[in-house]
Amino acid sequence: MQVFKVFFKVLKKKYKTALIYTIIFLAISYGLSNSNTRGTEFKESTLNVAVMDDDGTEQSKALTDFIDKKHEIKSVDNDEQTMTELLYWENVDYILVINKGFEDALAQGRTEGLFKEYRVHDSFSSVYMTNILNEYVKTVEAYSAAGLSLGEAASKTSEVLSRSTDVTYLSDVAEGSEEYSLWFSHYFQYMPYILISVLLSVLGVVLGSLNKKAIRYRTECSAVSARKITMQIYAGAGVFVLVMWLIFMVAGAVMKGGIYEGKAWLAVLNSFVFTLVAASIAILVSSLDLEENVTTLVTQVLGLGMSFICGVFVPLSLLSDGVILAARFLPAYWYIRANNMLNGSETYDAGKFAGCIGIQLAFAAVLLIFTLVVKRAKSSETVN
Amino acid sequence: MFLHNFKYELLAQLRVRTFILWLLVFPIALGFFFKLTFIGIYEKDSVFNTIPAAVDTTEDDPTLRAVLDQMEKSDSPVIRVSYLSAEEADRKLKDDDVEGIIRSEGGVLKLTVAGLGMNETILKSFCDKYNSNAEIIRAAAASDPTKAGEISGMLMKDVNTVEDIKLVNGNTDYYTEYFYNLIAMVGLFGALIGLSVTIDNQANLSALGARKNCSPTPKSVSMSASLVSKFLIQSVCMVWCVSFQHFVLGINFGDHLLLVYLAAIFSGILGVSLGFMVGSIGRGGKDIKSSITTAVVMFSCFLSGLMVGNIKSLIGKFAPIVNEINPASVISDCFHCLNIYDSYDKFISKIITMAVMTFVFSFVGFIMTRRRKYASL
Repeated sequence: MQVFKVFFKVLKKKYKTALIYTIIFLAISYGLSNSNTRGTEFKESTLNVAVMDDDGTEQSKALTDFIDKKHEIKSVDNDEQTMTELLYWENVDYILVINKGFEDALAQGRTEGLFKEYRVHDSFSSVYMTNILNEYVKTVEAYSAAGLSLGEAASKTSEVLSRSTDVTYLSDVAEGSEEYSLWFSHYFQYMPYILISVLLSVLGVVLGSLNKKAIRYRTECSAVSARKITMQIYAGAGVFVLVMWLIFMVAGAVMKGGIYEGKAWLAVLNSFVFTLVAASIAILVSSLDLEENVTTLVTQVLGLGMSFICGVFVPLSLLSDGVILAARFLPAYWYIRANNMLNGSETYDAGKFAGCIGIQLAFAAVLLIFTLVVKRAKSSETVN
Repeated sequence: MFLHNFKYELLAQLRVRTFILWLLVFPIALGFFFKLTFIGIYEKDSVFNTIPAAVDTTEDDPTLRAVLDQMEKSDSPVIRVSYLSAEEADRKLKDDDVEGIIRSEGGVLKLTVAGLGMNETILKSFCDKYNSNAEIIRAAAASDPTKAGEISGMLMKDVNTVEDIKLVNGNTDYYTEYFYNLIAMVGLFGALIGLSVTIDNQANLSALGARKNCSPTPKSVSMSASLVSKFLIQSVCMVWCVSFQHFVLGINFGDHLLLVYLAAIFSGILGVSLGFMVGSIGRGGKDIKSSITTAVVMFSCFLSGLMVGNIKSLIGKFAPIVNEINPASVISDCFHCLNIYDSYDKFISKIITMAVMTFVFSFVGFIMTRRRKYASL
């Protein structure tokens, strides 16, 4: 038990470091979870449309009201930089200027130069809204040609174009359940990055101190066998990792506003298994005896790199096939696949879910075996 | 004396080879992962492409066929359809080969989709348009058959009511922002080098610091020499980082590459001075100061969108001041402004903000470390 106790003595000395990392990554985790939302039943996309009405006539108002029926009207300053930022970040999807003389042009049957659109991206929204505007103008003119007054034509157009086609939403994707909502699944979605960062940062510091050359040489001279030392360090690391995982699970329950239920427990299991993977990575990295600053950079390369290509920060559906193929060789990919099955982004299949868990466990085992090989190589270095 | 100290500080820093090596490898590794992730995402996610759809041939509708044929003749058609049997269409929809299935039932279009995005919305808008046009033509034919042809022609003709004004001439792929944030992170991680300026000069934190405190060289001179040497090393790392991203990964930074280098060098200097300040505050040891520095850098990068790209714009909505004072946001905004705007006003204001931050951080660092006395060394 001596080495086991030493592990916690070192940890006690480094508790402030552990605390700082835990707090900062909890904060990042909370921020990440709240920065993403998604819906699951078919709903026509509602755009944020800014309308600048330079005409100010009844007709231009009728058009604005028509757009307002399906979309959100936003007010925007007529300033190029503001408009550019809003469009670039897609806070506003379409900026429409109704040109002066719109009503007169409609009355005369002219269709050119009625509107201006400020554009940053060649986006779907842009194509969609341009089509809607063209359609609106053509329909008003068709009604006018049929003998209606401009006012009547506009109101009839608004009525006809607001009718909706029957849409069947076919999806093998289940909706996020009450016990594991899509919103809450984001907390678990970002867990691989958080766990790798926090465990590598904290466990790396503690194990790094125990692995320092001078200390390792001294420890290896002692009467305790190398096997016992390794086992006790692993046991200490295990207890610590368990506590860290519990902290994140309790934080999740607090965020959810109650105890986990149903599928959420499977997410808890998934995160526990990934914690073992992250701990194995941390143990492996710390056995490389790197400087603390270097460990920080390695942590970010592993945490951010794996998160980006495995679908933690970017949905798997957006990644190219080649990237997904490469990601299959990384544990975070299997974690995300399991999480996607739970939140409904992928069809849930108990066998496949168990497969994802099993693959993660296999990664943890391989990493631990690899660590033992590295350690053996290092200890033979010592003997020589 | 300054130059003498500067030379040896530089040599000493260059001897910490593993860390310098990692500072160079760091942007390569992450840049490579970013590039791998973001290949083609902008084109797939944001840029409009013709939407593939299926038409169920169970009930043949010649009018629909005529409308769709005319639509496909345009240079950039909105929809491209394939005519398929019901089973085949369902299979293609499930395999994501088409975005929706259009069915004509008694002249009225119905739509089946499997997704929730803009593609499906555009398909629905086409069906809405078709159904409403059919209704208008039917009504016109019923009330005044002589006008039905004219009305039908008006509804079918191609019009262009909208003139578009492009606001940006640079690269509008907002996934490039992740690379801006990567440069910001590499720059701010210069704080880990900056931290060593205080650690190596404070007698209570390192043996080297204790030795230096015994020397007759004024602390201001040795500290300045140390700080400037770190500025230089970090600047070289930043030049490497931008060069790798631009020339190897092919990231499009717009037409002002020299200014991108300038901003990156400023960001590195800002990072070093941030570390210098954090290191000088309080009596904590190297471990604790190093973790605070890492935590500050990572949180700053998180707020500027390193993990979730649009978080900066969300913050801009609710607490814009955070974007103005968060170092990572200021750095990434520099590159953003260079790329997006034709005028340099915003870029210059961001560079000035960085310069002011660097001055404040360095000033606080010097103030906190001056006149420290030790009872014994």
